[in-house]
Amino acid sequence: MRNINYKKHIRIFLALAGVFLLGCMILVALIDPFFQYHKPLKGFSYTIDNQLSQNPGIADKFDYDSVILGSSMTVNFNPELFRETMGLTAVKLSYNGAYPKDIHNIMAIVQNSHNQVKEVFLGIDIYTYKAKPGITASEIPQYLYDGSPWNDLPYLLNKDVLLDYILKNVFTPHDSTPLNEIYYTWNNSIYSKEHVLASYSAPGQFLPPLSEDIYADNIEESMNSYILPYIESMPETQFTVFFPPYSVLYWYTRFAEGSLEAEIFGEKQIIETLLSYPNVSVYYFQNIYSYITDLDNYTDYTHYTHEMNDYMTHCFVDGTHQVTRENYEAVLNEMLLWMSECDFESYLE
Amino acid sequence: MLFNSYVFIFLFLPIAFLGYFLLNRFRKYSAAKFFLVGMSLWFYAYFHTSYLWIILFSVGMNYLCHVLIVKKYHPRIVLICGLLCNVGLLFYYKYFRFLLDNVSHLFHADISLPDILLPLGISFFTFQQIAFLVDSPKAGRQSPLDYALFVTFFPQLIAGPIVSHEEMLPQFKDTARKQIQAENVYMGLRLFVLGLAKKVLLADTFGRAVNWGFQNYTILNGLNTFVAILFYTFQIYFDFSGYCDMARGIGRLFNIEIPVNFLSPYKSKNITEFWDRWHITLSRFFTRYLYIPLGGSRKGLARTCVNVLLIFLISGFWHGAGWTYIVWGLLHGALSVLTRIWQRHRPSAKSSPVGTFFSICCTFLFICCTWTFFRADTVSQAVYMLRQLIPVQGSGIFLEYALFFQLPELEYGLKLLHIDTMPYAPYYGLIAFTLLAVILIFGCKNLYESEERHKPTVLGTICLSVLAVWCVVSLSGVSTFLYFNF
Repeated sequence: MRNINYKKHIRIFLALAGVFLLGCMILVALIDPFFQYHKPLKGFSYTIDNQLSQNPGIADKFDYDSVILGSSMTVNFNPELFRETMGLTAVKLSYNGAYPKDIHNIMAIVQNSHNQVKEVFLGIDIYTYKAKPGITASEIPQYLYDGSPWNDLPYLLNKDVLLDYILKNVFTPHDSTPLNEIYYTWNNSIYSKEHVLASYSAPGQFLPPLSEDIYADNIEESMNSYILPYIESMPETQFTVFFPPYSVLYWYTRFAEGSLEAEIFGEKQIIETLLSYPNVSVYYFQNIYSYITDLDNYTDYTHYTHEMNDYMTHCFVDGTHQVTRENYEAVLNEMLLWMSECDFESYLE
Repeated sequence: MLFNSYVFIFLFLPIAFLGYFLLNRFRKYSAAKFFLVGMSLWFYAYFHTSYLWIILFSVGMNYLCHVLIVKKYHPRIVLICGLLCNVGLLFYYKYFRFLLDNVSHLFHADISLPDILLPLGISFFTFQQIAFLVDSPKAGRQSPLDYALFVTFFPQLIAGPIVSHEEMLPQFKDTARKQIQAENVYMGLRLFVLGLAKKVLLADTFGRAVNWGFQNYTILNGLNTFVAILFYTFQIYFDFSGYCDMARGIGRLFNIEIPVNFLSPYKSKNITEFWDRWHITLSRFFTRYLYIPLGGSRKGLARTCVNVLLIFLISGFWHGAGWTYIVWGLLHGALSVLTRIWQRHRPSAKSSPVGTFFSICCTFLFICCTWTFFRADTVSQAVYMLRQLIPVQGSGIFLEYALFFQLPELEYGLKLLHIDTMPYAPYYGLIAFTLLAVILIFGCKNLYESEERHKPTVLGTICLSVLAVWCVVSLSGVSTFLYFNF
């Protein structure tokens, strides 16, 4: 019987596997579609569509002087408009459903990057600040956030990275995603009252109002742990914080849950804290009643058209809707009063 | 640490392999064993460092009992104490919370449930050590190092097989096994890669569709409920089969034959045969250490049936602390009892091919249905899903299922063949995976049956290498949001 040379087969196996694996690693490191090791290569068309995986690389390797942070309420901002109106080179580092911890994760990279950040635009959704501190919107790929190359194998040996972010772009070349278009995910949605009502679940029951300070501890911990450290340690950076305008139906749901007052109280708490810092300015867009009651501006009960993002950008320039230490309480009390007199049901017809 | 992880494949396994054989090459046999125990503890503690103290306590306590039993120091009392300690440890970590939860529900009491971290593999190493204690007089006194290696040897530590001392200890002592043997290395690598492929490429792909199906079971019609259950039946098969292959493959790298635990179980013609093929070493444990001491089949049909039901009840409970597992075990027990009664009245006659086919189909369908309890969160969920099955109705399989099978490599294949725009193209991946699963499960010999006659070829080795790379690059995906609301 023929003697089998097992050693030869082991050598073939190890050599081939080694060559393939090393080839994959080199290819991913060279192209670097998640920008972990270098800026985008000139001749390669990159697809930028993954907030979780690509934001840390963008924050660390790209050149910019301002950042746009927040949830899906910020994805339709146009950085080009920031350049035109404020002369800023902005990058969008949005996370759908961003919690304060998500902001902290990416701000840590922004702060340690080579960029001198002049301005941070931060959208605050009270819904995520009232939640238990420490959670993130989604499980983050930690190896892309820690700056260490020693745990990067899940990136370097990753079929999805190879096929979806490298080979697909090689075989079907296209222009790289322009920076002002990254995460323009809500732009393709249908904006109409009919569409909003189709996806909206009207409240079935109405609970008594919660204590107005029920979220105070969570909010305080979230602010202290994830937001204020950056405001304090970056005194040269201007923080423009804003509260985006959800539709009236968002508030109807909160009203039914009994959390409307508590959320507004939470917003008051956040604004009061923020306005004690000289490098923070606060904008409040939730009380633009003509806008939030026109459901044709929305695709669901929270997400508005990109025109609102553009409008907010202009407001950051001319100061419209800015709240100050002097007027923030009056603004929010007036908002609460409007909500208490609002006939929510009429917007469902 | 999982076998299907980068740290295991690229760091742990090479260090363990090279370190073990290097020490053996210099005839430092005890040091080599000590090294392997140390590596196994690292492997175990990688999940959670607090696990380390639990396994060290368990091994130390059992070894003390073993020594006392061998020295005939009140062996019966020591054995009973040892068994109670083992069962007590298992009960506390695995079942205490379940018990409190049920007491709380039963008496409407507001008992706060303790946060007990379940140590991985505790069910396996507890049973393995119970068996060893019972067999201690036969096994003779073992050195603490051999004993520690017997319990902690990492390929079998977290999910079995439940090995016996006579299978493992002589191998650990055999000096002929202490040098690298090329044939074992090759066959071990082959088993490991094929097991990894079953786990990463097949089980995990089916698993993603199953997760969706079981999470959304209330919106599924009969046909799509059946798909969820069928895919789970495939998932658990390839998951466990893959794990067993990887464990045996790693054992083989170290010149250690780990017993076969999985032998094409879905080819079984009845439930008794299924349990002779699925988790073989668990069935062996229950037979040797519970069923036979209870009287086995020697005390009449009624007692046999009670014994069988009891074994399956415990088997269900062993698999998980929940009513779903208990129901699952009882259902298997009930069919086992019926099968025994049937076989007693209808002694086995040579079955026709049609009869065999029918038996395999019926057994498979029963196994599918009972897996529903194994996978469901609650008994009521499983019952709801099974009720949806009758009658199986629905105009088609939901596209959501198909999305989980639209792997990028398949999409490239479809584009290459210019069939990516054909009718039903989104379903091609689902169909391909389902057909492949059916062929592998019912139409192929299992690796144990084929390995004796396997002769490596250059082409085969190249394919194995490509498969290994494919598995490794499939270990990690790119995280995306499954989120569209805020």
